[in-house]
Amino acid sequence: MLADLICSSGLAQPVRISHVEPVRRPYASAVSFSYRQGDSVVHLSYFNNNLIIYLASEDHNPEYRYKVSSLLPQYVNTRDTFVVLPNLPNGELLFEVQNIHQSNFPPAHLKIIVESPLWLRWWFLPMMFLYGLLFVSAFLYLFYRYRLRQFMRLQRVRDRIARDLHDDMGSYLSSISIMSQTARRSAMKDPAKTQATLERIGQTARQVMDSMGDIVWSINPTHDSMEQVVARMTDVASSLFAWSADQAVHVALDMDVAAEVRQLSLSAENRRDFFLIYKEAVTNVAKYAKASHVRVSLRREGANLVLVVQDDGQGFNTQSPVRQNPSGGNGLRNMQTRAALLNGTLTVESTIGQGANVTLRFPV
Amino acid sequence: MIVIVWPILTGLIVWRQLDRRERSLIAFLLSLLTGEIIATILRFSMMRNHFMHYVATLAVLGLILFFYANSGRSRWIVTSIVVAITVSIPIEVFVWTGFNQINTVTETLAWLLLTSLAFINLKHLLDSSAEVSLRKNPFVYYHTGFFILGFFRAGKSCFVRYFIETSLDLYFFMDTLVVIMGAVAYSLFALGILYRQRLSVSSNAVV
Repeated sequence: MLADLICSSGLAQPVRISHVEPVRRPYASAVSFSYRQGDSVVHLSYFNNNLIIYLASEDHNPEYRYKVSSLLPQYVNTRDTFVVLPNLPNGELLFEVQNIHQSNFPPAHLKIIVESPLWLRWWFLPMMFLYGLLFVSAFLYLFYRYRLRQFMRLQRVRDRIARDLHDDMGSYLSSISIMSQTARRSAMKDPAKTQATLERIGQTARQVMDSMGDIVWSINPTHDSMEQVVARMTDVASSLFAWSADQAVHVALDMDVAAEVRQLSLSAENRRDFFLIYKEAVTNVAKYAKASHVRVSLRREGANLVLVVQDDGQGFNTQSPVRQNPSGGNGLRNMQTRAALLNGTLTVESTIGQGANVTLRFPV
Repeated sequence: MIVIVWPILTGLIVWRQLDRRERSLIAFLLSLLTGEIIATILRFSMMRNHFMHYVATLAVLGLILFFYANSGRSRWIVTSIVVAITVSIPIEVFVWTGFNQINTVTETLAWLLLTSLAFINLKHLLDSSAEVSLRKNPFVYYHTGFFILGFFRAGKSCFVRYFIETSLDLYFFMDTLVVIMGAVAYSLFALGILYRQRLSVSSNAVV
């Protein structure tokens, strides 16, 4: 009854925690720690989690019992005036101590908070998950951009094929259609005119086949290598200059292709532009130059591919080329346009009577 | 003898063909390798080697300066950030952590800067004209490699000191993860150098 009275009035403290100090591990750096008598809470870090608690009592021969919640659930009796709590687990612990001889008094309490390491805190795993998610998201985003780019490339190829079919095939087929109607109307009245018209229809049809062959060849991925391009270049030149031979003009063709050029590969768009520039150049030589010797050279200069078509024909004035083909005349302009598409330069040099030199230079 | 001389000669020949940016990449990889060797020797000699992190941080900053801050509108911004981080290293070392301690903040910032620049440049490359094929563009591989390497190294740098002091299991886990992802990145660098001849000296190459 008296004890309860003393306890409730706060006049008596049969057991008190006089001092608390951490036990520093030899390899751990010093950590600031403070405890003043009467404090109800002490904070420890997870790497400095050993504690000595000093007890004091008015009793001359005290015997204590203590427990630590979730660590020592049962009371431990001791006559020592200190308690060593080594290697305390992370989290909140409640230390309770009582004088066995004065068990009617409430025990003294000390809340011990051992801070968890970072990786045991609630935010660490979600943060690591977010970091990983950021990496995956970044890669998915880049992959999405790559797929979009590939789609754009595909679309560009489709557009180009459609444009080529419309521009080349469409105009040729329209011409054939119109000429066939003309031939039908004049079949009975003017057989000679009909004959000429049929001849032009045949010529146009051959141009259609030729253009179609170029389009199919340019989009076929098996022709990506420069080896294939060179083979077709040789075929075209041989067939063109064989036709010239029928005109009783012997044209000697000299193809000089550097070994390192054969290792290159061009994209479908570049391959087509490059090939059509070459084709236009050698066609011009075959049709108009009256040359006896043609030299085609293909070499690499640094990052550039250089094509040179050189002839010893009659040459022309590059400032005002004579339009020998009344229905044409766009050849040089088309070559310049295609060279620009290749991010390259096209140089045409010629002197009347001394042949011509066409040089294409573009990066690969 | 030939086993030693042949790779050195091949390396010298290849080195002469590389442009300035690619040389900075090779120099960076060599500095990382040398740093690892020195750190290992010091560890075996029971000497604390944490100061090697300052060297690694400087190598990353040097790479950024030569590889990413040599052209473009953002040149001065990147250079300014690099200078700021470089100046912060001695401040962190002598004022905050103490000498021969890992410079967590500046090292993490340097790797994060490299990661960000690699990502931005990779995106810029993917947004470039669809006319240009990227399949054999070496810079795709370089930027991807830097992105992977930087991302995981930044994560490791952020916690390496803490893990060394508190949990070696986690330290070894992070270290192994960085080694594995580093192998992926180095493979990408090797692929890029293989393709270097196509575009590295081209005037209109997209980089």
